Amino acid sequence: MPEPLLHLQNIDAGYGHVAVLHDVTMSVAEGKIVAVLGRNGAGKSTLTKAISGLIPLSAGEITLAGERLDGRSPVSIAGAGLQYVVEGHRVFRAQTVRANLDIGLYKQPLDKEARSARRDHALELFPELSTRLNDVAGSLSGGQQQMLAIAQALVREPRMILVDEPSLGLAPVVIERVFSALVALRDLGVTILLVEQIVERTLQIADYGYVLRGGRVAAMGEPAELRTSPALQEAYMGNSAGGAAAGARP
Amino acid sequence: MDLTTQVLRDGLVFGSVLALVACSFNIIHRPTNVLNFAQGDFVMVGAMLAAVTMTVMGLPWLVGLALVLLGCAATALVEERVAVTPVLRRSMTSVSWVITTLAFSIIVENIIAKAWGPNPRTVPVPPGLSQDATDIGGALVSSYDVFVVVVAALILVGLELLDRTPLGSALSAVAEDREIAMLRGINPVRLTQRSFLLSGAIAGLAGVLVAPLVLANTSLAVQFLLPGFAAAAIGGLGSNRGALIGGYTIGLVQAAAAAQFAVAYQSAAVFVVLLGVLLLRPQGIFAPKAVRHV
Repeated sequence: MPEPLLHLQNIDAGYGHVAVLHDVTMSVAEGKIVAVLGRNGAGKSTLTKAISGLIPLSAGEITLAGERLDGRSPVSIAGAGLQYVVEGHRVFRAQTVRANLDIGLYKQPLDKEARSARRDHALELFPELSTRLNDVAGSLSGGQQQMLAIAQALVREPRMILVDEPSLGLAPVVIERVFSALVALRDLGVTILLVEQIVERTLQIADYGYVLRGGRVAAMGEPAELRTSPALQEAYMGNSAGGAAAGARP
Repeated sequence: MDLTTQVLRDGLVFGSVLALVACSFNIIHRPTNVLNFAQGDFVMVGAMLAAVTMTVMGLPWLVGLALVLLGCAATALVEERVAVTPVLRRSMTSVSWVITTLAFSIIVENIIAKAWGPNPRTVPVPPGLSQDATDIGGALVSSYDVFVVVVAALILVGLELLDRTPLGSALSAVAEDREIAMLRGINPVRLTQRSFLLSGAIAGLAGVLVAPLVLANTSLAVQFLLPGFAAAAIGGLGSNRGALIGGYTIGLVQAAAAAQFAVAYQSAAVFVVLLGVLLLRPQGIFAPKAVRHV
């Protein structure tokens, strides 16, 4: 079995004395979409913050292609090739779309042509942004801002991207657009850790998945296995019976 | 001599110096949201170091200037290390910097007063320039006055151009969302250090420029802290153009108050104008455009 690109080994993390993640072990294989599912408060965002260095681990270790990430700063982790697209389509709203993309290339040793090529490449998936390069990002719709946030992470040509709830606050048609782009990215060889609440659509595009509940891994497996997993139902519905993820957004 | 044109001359010359101080406020404020209460001290240290290097040691003006800029930049970096970054590391939303930068200011003033005493010191103008005034349209203007206005304008143009570089863009990114900036590989601590270095050097330059006009002395720190802040606030924090307009406005108000009433009323006049502008336009005249979140 090939070495996973990203590996989390028995990690604990939280905020100050409040422990949120407990003994989490996960692997993300290269070129795959791995989903992390769970309802609000399951520890999904804490997980992404811990991986990206925004909060420290209290135990365990994280490696990217065998290189230790834990204990490093977010800047250093970004330099190691992991880009984190934060929930809430956060971009630099006061700056233009072009400036937002260039910020993703800050301090990259590239000439003007290479920078332009990187921008164009990142925008191939989001042609709707190509016509708005000189507009301020704050004037874009929520969906376009989400696309820009992903494109901003991609210009650096990372080894993998970590995408936190890209569907948050978006209309279904826009969610579909964003998810299609994630599939296209995976097909281009980009490794993706996708953290989501919406279950069925996420499992449709994922190659593997984990279910978080109370900061612990409650289930893991192929999408087909997870769909029938009682742990997934419990993660969303507590211990009550019901269809998988009936309480989650469709 | 015509009083109105003389007020105009005084306003433009001292307003140019205030514009530099306002810019130095902006440079630190952008990546940190800190309003540095020791900003006036960089002006004072610049003036005092100019007196020591150019007058006492007799070094050539440009060599003295280089040493002043280095000294002020170093002073600013020390402040960043001991009074700002430790506070921001604990919490980006903490306002403890109000006390820590004020404390740094008091410490610097005491050290300088102890080292060089309270007596005002002369500082020479650059070679080839003079403070001998010529009557131009009723105002007494010297070649040094013109030099001060031109240098300040050039520095502001340079800062505007810097804003268009990747570094300027990164500074704006840190100002807008420090967390996302870090996740994109921008190191806000390093940018903060660079900002302090640049801010210290520019405020120090303001001190060098103003010293021949008012003599170098320890009270310059207080004299330039509040009017410099007022210029930045009136112009709009973060805007170089605003700093220039704010500087000229405060300079003219101070000159008019001194001419019409007395020097003692300068501060009151400055704050009347500051309050008036901020009541009508709280973000200042040229504040960077805020974008409505959609």
